[in-house]
Amino acid sequence: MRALDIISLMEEASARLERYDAEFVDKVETILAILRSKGVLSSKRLQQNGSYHTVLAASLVLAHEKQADIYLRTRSQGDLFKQGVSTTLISFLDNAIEQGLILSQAKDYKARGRMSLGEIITSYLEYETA
Amino acid sequence: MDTTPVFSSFMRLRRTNSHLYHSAKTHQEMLAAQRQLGKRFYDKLSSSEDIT
Repeated sequence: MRALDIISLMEEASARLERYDAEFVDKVETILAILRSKGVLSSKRLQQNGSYHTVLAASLVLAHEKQADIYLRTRSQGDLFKQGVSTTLISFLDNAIEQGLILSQAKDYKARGRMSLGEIITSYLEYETA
Repeated sequence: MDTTPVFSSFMRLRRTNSHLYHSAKTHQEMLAAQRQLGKRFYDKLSSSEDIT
């Protein structure tokens, strides 16, 4: 299985969300619900963070569609900032790993390098596709 | 009998009453139900169907 850069996935997911694709949006909503039910994404400050959370969830749906793992090249705040990405991406991925929604191959079980979608996310995306 | 709502209950609510589903109260209820039921909360998981 190939691994796709999470930032590229987020950019592609953001563009995909701008197209009207009800099936894709439905899958994104399901993943958002899973992330919220696990406390990975907070429902507080939904007005401010809602669209960013949607892009994060959409990038996971996209990775599943492409049958790919996700890849994080750096945890450096400076590098992420240069790429125009919020550093909350790291805490989102770390939390998702801690909750078992994303599987890390790193020795410290943190978001770095290659990561896979966990059972709950893949099961629900496959269920929605069936 | 356990009446704690499961994941599919919230997904039904999303389709029938989007406004209520997107409220902070519903999200808190979803979080609480998941904490109470653990993996059984995700009722479409093949591995959780064995537990119930």
